[in-house]
Amino acid sequence: MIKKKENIVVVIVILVLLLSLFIIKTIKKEGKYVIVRLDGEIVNVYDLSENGTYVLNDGSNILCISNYKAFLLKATCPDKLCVKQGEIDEITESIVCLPNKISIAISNNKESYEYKKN
Amino acid sequence: MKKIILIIFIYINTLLLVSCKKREVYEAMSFNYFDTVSYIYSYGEEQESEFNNNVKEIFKILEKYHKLFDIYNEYEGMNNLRTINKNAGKEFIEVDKDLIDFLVYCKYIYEITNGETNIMLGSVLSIWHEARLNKEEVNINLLEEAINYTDIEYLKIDPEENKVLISEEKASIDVGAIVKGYACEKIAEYLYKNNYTSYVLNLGGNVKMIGSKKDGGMWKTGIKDPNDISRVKVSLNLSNTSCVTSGDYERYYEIDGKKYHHIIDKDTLYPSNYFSSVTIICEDSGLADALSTALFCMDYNEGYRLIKQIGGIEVIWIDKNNDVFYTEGLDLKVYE
Repeated sequence: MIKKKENIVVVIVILVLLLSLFIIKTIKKEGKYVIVRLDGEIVNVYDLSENGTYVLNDGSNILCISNYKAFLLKATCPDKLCVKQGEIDEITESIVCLPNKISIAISNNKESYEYKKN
Repeated sequence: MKKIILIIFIYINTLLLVSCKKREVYEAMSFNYFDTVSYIYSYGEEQESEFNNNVKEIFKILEKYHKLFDIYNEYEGMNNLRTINKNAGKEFIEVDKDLIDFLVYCKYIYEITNGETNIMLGSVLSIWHEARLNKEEVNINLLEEAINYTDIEYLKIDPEENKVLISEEKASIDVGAIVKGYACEKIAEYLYKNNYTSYVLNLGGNVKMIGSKKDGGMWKTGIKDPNDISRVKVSLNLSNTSCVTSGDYERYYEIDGKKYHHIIDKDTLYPSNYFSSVTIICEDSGLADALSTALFCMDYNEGYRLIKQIGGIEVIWIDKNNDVFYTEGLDLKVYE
């Protein structure tokens, strides 16, 4: 009788722990950031989870973050290839505007985000 | 009781494993080289400061080749390709050994591609460069005249004295078809020599994968849909190789709604029309770069025959109907 009880307790414990593991994994959001570079240097970092529209480089490009995706809304370059490239949301994805030397990229590098905030 | 303790122990370990996510990749980029964007990614074990040092060294290599191979500008204290072009039909020019090595490599590329990739097409290509800059039509008569001055034999290399001469005054060198791939190989040499084995380079679409990911896994790369560059048409898993794509959907100009892209077919003297995109996968980046240009200007059968002749090359073609063709040895997925 005692053995059976212990086994039931073990099973319950396992289930509770698995459930909590699952909850933690889904709730915990992996921090992603949008790194904006002008001519190779980081000039701004935005949180991918915060919607917003930002003017880059005195208006050469307009960055839009919406629904955990980043894209360029407008650009002053002649061919608008950067705008045509659509949205990015995965780490190492990036969009480049060659004539304006602007690049936006997704990263999970929290340090650079914190540095830029200050 | 012991069982419960064991389970809790396993749980805590799993929780720690799940929570601690180390940053996967270091990234650096530049707009300064070869009129395009260059990316350097490290998936290795080194600290960020070590990565930043590597990036500095890699940028030095890129700058050296950018200046040596420049046909539009000259730089103080050095002779480069522009110097050689300016002295065509005149005299031998002494140059850095790295430039000699490159030109010798280009002659090898000419042989191995049966003359399809020819760096002496400068006389034709310069007419197109001019037209693209001014957004105007080309003069077909000028092109038909220029093609007479594209013989590879005009390029005289003296490897002992490190001197180069173009023997025909109207001939000139244009290395656009090979230079990014060659530069990638030189950077790879530096990284291998210093035991870095988990890097990815991307020089304007010329991708070189050095080694594989830390856990031995492959990287996933993709080819854009020529009709909609916001989506991927083909994704492929690769490691320890080069992947170069030539396409007509980024560098082009338009006159009266007609598009003129930048890859000129030496047989028609006009931008080639066979495909929207050609991707070459093989180890040598310089060869991949050269072949992507060459196969872009050949029909499917000709291109297939050439790469079979060379061996060790995989290809993905996307034609004008957005249909995808590819060789047998690739791990890829096509998206409709």
